[in-house]
Amino acid sequence: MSGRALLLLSAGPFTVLRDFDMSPEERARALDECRALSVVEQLARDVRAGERAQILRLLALLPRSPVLSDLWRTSYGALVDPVRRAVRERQVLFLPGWHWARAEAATAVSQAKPAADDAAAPPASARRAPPPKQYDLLFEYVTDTGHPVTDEGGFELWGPGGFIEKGKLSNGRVHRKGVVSGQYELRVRALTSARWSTLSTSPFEPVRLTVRTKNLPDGTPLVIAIRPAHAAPDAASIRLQVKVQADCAAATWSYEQAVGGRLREDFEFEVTLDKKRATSQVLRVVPHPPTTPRGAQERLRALGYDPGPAADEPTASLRAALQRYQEDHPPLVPSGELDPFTVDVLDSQIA
Amino acid sequence: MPSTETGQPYRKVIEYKGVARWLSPDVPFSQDSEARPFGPGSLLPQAGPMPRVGSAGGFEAGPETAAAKPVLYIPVKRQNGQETIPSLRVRLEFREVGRLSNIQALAHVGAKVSFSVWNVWGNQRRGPVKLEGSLDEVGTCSVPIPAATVKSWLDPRAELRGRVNEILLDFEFAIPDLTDQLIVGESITRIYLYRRKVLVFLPGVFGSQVNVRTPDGHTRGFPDLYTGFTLERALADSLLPGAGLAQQLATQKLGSLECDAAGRPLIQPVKPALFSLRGQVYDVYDDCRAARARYFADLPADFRLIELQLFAYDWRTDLLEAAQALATRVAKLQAELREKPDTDDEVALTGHSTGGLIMRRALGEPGMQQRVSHAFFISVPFRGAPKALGVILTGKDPPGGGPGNRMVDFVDSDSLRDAALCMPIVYHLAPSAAYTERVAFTPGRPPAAPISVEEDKRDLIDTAISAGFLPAPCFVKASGLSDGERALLASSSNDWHSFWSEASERLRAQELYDASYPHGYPERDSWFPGEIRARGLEAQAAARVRGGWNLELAARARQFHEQSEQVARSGAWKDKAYVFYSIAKQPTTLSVHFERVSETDFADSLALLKDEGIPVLQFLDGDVVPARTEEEREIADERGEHHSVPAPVVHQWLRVNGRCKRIVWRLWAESKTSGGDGTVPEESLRGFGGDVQDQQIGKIGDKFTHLDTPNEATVWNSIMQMLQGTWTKTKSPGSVSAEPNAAKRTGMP
Repeated sequence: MSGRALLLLSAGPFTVLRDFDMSPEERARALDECRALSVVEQLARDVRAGERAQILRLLALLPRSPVLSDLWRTSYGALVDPVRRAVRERQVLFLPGWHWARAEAATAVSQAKPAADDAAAPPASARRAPPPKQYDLLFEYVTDTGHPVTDEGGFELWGPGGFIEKGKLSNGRVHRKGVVSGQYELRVRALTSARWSTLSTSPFEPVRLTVRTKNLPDGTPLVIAIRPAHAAPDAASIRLQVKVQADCAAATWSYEQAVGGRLREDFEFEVTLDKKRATSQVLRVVPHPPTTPRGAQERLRALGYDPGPAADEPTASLRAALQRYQEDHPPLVPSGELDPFTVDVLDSQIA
Repeated sequence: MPSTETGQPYRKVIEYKGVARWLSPDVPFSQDSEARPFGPGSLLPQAGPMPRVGSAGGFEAGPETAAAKPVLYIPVKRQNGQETIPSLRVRLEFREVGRLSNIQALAHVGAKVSFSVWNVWGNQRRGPVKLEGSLDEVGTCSVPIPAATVKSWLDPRAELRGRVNEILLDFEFAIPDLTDQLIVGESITRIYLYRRKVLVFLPGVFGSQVNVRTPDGHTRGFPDLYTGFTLERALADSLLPGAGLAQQLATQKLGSLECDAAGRPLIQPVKPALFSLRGQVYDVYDDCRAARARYFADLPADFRLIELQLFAYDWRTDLLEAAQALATRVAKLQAELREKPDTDDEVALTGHSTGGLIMRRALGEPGMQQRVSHAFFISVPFRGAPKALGVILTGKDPPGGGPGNRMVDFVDSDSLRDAALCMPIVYHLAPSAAYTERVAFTPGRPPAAPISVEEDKRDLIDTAISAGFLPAPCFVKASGLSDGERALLASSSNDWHSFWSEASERLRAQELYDASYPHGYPERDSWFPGEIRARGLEAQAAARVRGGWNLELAARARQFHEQSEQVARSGAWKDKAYVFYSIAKQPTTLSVHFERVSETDFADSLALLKDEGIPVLQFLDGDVVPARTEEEREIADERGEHHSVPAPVVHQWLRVNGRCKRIVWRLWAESKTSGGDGTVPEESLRGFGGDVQDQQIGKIGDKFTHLDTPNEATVWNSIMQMLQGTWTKTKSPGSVSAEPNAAKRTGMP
């Protein structure tokens, strides 16, 4: 086994190697058994065809691969169990990230290794070391429509021995000729998600906005624009500035309903970095129940009455606003109290 | 080329996913909590977990169930007769999974996207309308739809066959040229274009509760269906028929609602806007809601597409006041509606019976043409009803019937009779001058007399009073009394009428006593002031003057009707007015007859008394009265069949030229089966006075009576169609098989 490393799979979020012979540093980067299995299990659970197909390709290259023909009818256990066994028996090694495989290089090393072990061979110093073999390095990025992509945001190509090269992805390809053997990684800057902490909230209740990134330096500024979800994208929006820290940026926001402001609204936010953007899911703002002080405040505000700051208990401002509303809507009794009739009329007035 | 083990370069395939949806750039969606998702299932068939995938890209799947597909309720506003239509936009994001756009696929830029917009209202697919756009550099395609285009979608003759409130927009799309397979998908949201409508309902007489504050500080409501209602009383009512609430209702008297000689209420109502009855007389809330739920069956039942408001009014008084108040209310309402984002600023008026009379007159007030989009008249006595004459004479229907023949179930019939002639409403509901048939017959107005409804009415009442059939009314003076004094008079009005009924009966024998006691009969004559004192009615007696058919009120009612008919004749409401009426199988009063049965001369009072069978000693006691009996009269109906009708008989004693005379009078009403709706004759029901769209409710012989029609499903179904503009005259709703809501027969016109 030693001296050889065969690429089994290098696509998606990890690389799987078999017959590996790696340095301690490289081995340290590998996923432990538990995390490796969780990756596989996650893929197997995912009902999307692409993810399952990866597992199937992986299984096909295992030493004791089961014969699986129908992707959709293959059970979860049938997909995962062979991989689990292979991981436990240390037949495969999972590396994170997108890597250029070194199958050829590994093969070359493995060919050289038996000569080094040969006792009859002349001393190493007496032999001329062959010149390092050079290879072509080719990354291709395409959409699933089959079209190449470009990324003006730039990338960093990391190679062996601290090799770093900056460039821009154009026409979907990064092609380098004459590179030495080793592990290469193309680090693309990306926004990977934009999420609300909840999908439903109420006025004045804080919500956390989280943006996940990849390969963005700490301190990179991002612009977040919050806007009604069903309005035009160029509609007026609330803008926030956040900075990336450890591939994450976050902010807290709440819908501060103004007097006359809407009671219900759908919001989404979009984070932008130059031409890159990520859009969140829809956050729905719904009012509190009309029988609660907060709910009454929210409805009064929507109808143009100022009930003061949001509060869970009836306040003097709420009572005053209620009384004004009741005076304006006979035959409600202007008591300033949130009686059932007032609740009913308040709620029915919201259109 | 050195490469991987498989000889392939490293290849990263970036998965794309689309999100397509509607946008409403100008108008925000409804905030109504009842604006819930509805509509049919997805446009595209569900073939698997990724059903909308062509060779590449997965589009965000629609929800598994249609009910979960969000619907944006977007209002279409109409103000000043102009539609304000929102512009819309369809938007497609074709981006990396997770709504990300980190890279650009230049080949995607400019790719053609075709949209097919469907109207899926009513679980149907109408359309499509095709739209086209192309992907931009960030993978989005947004196609604006100008308001003019949306407006064309609301044309029922166009491809989408939509109209406001009946259009649920969805779309599917295709990107044909990006791969060798078609990429298709559909919107994850839908748009519902709606407009709310305010419908103002005017009930008939007794459909509103008149609230008055009595001098003791209490507020009383008439009719008293809610005041004092308790669970115990309702229970007693259910356990002991005739007790509890029913008993209370049976004894309601209207004295405190009395008006003065000028028709002005002695006590003004507590509020200009009176509380209306709900459920007891009418169920229009439930009926309207049910019709709305039937017509818009797909829409969530609690989404308020129709807002029903009641216009209650003081039904005692001059209907002109109510008509003007209605016009003012509608003007104010329009101003309020213009502040709302989603409501038509023109209202629909619906009036039942007297409510319809008020409506017709109100339509002539300035500005109403711009404020009212529909006027629905349900069982309206446009030319009055002869039955109202029965109210004046006996408070019963038919006039002179027994205790079970109260004109209004919950009002004491004598009380109704006693208050009638001072209430303007009675003059408004009596047949109007436009009536083309004779409505009353008396010796002074025999069948050969020329048609004159005004003469018929006046002569009938005056004759009945002079014959002693009807107590001569004593009106409260119209001037010279403070509000406090008027309120006190109202509070003891029932006592006065009780006394005056008794006194009137005694006075019927007065001429005979005058003949026998030319210098007076002190014991008998002192009964009147003695009773007034004993009953504490001095103030009542001082404040009242004898009256009869009130010519001033009759003239005002006549003017009201003439003005109303002018409104109808103008033709201005030809396209907006709809008349509903029914022809019921039960008899409808067409005319009232007060006939002289016999006239007998006697030499003196003793001879008359002998003939009447009254002992002389009883006469000498001073308290005999001429006979009053309940009889029946045989009449032939239109088919020649004979029927008995109540015919109260009254004897009148007169002294003429030193001799005594007895005249026997008889009252009866001529009615006709299927001659109207049981209350109002057909002529009056159809007598709007101008071009109008009318339809009959049910068929001749059906059971839908005057009181049933406002609670009749057919009416409300038709109203929904008329509001939506889908009603056609050929679409007869006459196939109704439902029974009328007999349980609600507690009102009157």
